[in-house]
Amino acid sequence: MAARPGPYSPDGRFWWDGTAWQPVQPPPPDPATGQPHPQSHPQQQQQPAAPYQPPPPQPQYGPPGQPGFQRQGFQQHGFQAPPGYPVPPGGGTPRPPRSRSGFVLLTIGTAIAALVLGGIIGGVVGLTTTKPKGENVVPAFAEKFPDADAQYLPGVTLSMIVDDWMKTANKWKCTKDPNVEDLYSRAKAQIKCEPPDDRGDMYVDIEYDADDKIKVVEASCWLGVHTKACKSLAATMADAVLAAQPKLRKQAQKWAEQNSGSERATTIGGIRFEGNLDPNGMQALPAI
Amino acid sequence: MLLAGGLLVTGCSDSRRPTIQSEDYDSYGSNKKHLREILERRAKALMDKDEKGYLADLDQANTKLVQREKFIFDNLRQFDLAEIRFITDRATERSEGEGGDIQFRPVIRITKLTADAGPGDVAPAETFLYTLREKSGRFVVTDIIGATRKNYKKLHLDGPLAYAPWNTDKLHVVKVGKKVWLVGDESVTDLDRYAAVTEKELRLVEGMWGDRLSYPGHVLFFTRDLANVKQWFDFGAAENFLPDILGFQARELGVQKNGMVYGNEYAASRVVVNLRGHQAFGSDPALTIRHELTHAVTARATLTIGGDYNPPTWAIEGFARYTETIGNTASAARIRSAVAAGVRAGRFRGVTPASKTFYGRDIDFNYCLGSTVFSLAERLKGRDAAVELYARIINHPDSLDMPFMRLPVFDGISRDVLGMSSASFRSRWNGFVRNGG
Amino acid sequence: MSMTPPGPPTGQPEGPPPGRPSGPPPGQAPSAAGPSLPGTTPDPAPGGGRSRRGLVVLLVGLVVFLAAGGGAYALARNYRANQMTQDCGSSHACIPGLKVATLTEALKDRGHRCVEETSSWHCDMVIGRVYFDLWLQSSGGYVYSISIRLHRMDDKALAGTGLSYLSWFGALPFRDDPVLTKEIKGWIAQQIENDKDTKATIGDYEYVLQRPEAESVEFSIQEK
Repeated sequence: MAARPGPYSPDGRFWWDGTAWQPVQPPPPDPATGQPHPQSHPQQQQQPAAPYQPPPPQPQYGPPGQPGFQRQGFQQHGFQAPPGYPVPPGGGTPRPPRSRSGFVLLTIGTAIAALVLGGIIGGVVGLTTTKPKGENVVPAFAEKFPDADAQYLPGVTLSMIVDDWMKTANKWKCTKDPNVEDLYSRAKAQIKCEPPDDRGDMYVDIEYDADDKIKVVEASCWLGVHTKACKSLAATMADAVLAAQPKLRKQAQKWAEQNSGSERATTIGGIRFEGNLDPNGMQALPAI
Repeated sequence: MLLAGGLLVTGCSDSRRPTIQSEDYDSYGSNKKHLREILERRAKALMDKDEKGYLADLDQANTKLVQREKFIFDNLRQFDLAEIRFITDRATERSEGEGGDIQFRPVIRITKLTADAGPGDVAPAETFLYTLREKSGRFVVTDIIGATRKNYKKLHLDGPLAYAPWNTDKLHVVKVGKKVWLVGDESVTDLDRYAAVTEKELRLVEGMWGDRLSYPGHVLFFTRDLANVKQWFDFGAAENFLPDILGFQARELGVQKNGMVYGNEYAASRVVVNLRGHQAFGSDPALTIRHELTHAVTARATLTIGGDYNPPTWAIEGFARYTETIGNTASAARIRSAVAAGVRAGRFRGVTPASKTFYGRDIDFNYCLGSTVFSLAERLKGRDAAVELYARIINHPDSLDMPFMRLPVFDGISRDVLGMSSASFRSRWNGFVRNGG
Repeated sequence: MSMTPPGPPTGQPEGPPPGRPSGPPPGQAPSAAGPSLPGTTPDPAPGGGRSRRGLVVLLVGLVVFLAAGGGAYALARNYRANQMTQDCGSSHACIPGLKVATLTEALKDRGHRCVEETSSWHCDMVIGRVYFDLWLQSSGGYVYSISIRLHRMDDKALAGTGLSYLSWFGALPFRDDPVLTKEIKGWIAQQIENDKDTKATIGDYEYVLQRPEAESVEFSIQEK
């Protein structure tokens, strides 16, 4: 063992001078900065308190391929404490430095390993057992959020239109039209009504899902936007769809008569009335 | 430390509420929005007669464009504008060239004067191609091209043409009374001369027409420049264009809310009077004004379904010629002699002239022959009956293979208005014409 | 030799230099322990001290392990719990916790029509002339993108039903936060009123609201 002296203890705090361990002193503070500054002030190496200490024959002892080892040596050898420094640092009782530093090292190593391992395990467990905040439920719908009922004309039933207005009051003929695939309203059923004499110049269409679920009532007229017949058709339709809201009937009737030959729209009693020009007519739709 | 940190962060987690960091967003889809904003400003500026505002969004480096828009503004501000509004619903967007130009077409501008009316909000309009470019952080208009008969196909400008005189000539406008606007180009310096006569003729025609469907007002363009007679309303490209025409009336279809042309009613009527023609023929502009005003006043009630199905031309032109005889014996005599000459020349074949060849070789005879139908009606049942006969006829399309007076629909009209069958009226009319009207 | 270069000691004397320290520090036997080099046998402290030290090391390790584990666990939980998005495969980040099926079922219950397409859902509804058009892009059963179009909706309807519809979806990523939900609704209302094309960053999400036509609105939400 003695035949193979090494220059420094593994913790770097002692160096082997070939015969005994010498404690390694930290470099004196730099006069300018107060910081250890080992290599840029050569005159410090000549101060009496720290005579030049030649390096041990390092090349032959240092583990090969460890430049750090050499560098460490260079950094410290010039600041060797004066010979005979009595006690190595770390305790009042002198004891073998390797054993003590080994313990410290072991503790630190264990701590680092525990830190890493604990961190990883804790992190992974934390990440895998936790979900981002958020339940698998949707928030409550606001009142105005569109719903199924909003698709239907409020208070309007099929019999109000087909029986009361078309058949009884006007003797119109109403027939179910099976072609509902292309309806914009997506209604399940459609009834078309026309005047009894087959003139083909007026129609009333009702698009609906059920007897009390009417989506669209539309009156069309080919007699000319300025004709009394077309205006009157629009007016009576407005009147019919508001049968359940008697106070509004007159207002709706008047508006429809005045605006049947336009593309204007208004909302009365939750029903949107919309004039059409091509073909001329009036639509009653649920207002939103 | 890690534990402490972890616990600390956990403890503070409630304060991690994000804030809303909002900014204006410009994407490809926003380009049309920029166009809409520019057009809204231009429309408002024009309505407010604010020239600076109207020109503000133009690329000021394009002096030609700025100059052109400036004179269009100067023209339009003199009219009584009822509505200026742009419709971009149908406009498609296309990037053009390397300079970052974005083209939009068709951009439709409602150019509604207080003289105009349509069903609902249908209004006369003009179609444009707008080119926008981003310049120093804002969009500017670098070009505006109006649709004409020549360019509309190539430029895909599907919509009413931008061929009104205010797009091409410096105009001056004189308002006469409450419902007549006389407009002259630079060749007309005596516009005021026609003010009184126009008012007088309009009173006569409107008095005759009564409360039937018509327009709130009338706009008459005057010129001595033959080039403008051809250019205005693209009349030069029309089938019935004649260089020595004394005047014409242009009926304008309007557009609906979505920018589509509404084909069932004319939304505006414009009259052009060729003062040079009158000078050349020594004729009285008053008669031309009356003739064209008759077209103008009755145009709104004239059937149109947007295609070739128009009422018989003999009725439209014949009735306008017939009005020239009212209170004007000289004019009535000239018409009678023209009819007689035509009959003598063998041009009368017992039927009204076909619409297709109306403006052809026998144009003058055709006008006069057409007018005899209404002269006879007036002789039989009075002037109101003549007007009513006309009003009923122009509600129906001409037949392409049968004279209108032989159609069943005319029989109904004849019985209603004249109290006789169409056969009976036809035979009377035949005799009337052969006797020289 | 006035200074020591940091490089290899090329200029240094090979042999033992003079002035070498004379002996070991007092109380330190030179033979007690050599430098710890591979292959050497250390001569540690006596057996009792050795096991005590081992225990200390073990204890320290355990304490550090638990502290680190606990801390990392707490951090990870906190990080996860506060994540505004959730990983949902295919490199998408989804709205946390909300399954696309839950969302579409809720809409169906409300009367909307929902149809599943390839890795997306399309829900729509017609009320009168107005068309509500919704596309949900999904991955792993969760939603990573919401796109909405409202067609033929005038300003009045937009300010009422339209706003209600848009802000409900706008709040989905932050549905547990009533304050932010309200703020988002206010933001949408403001943008509609201003008629602005606008983009907002809210946490990890990008919200875009546009008005391509006068009577139509486009609204999208996705991870930034």
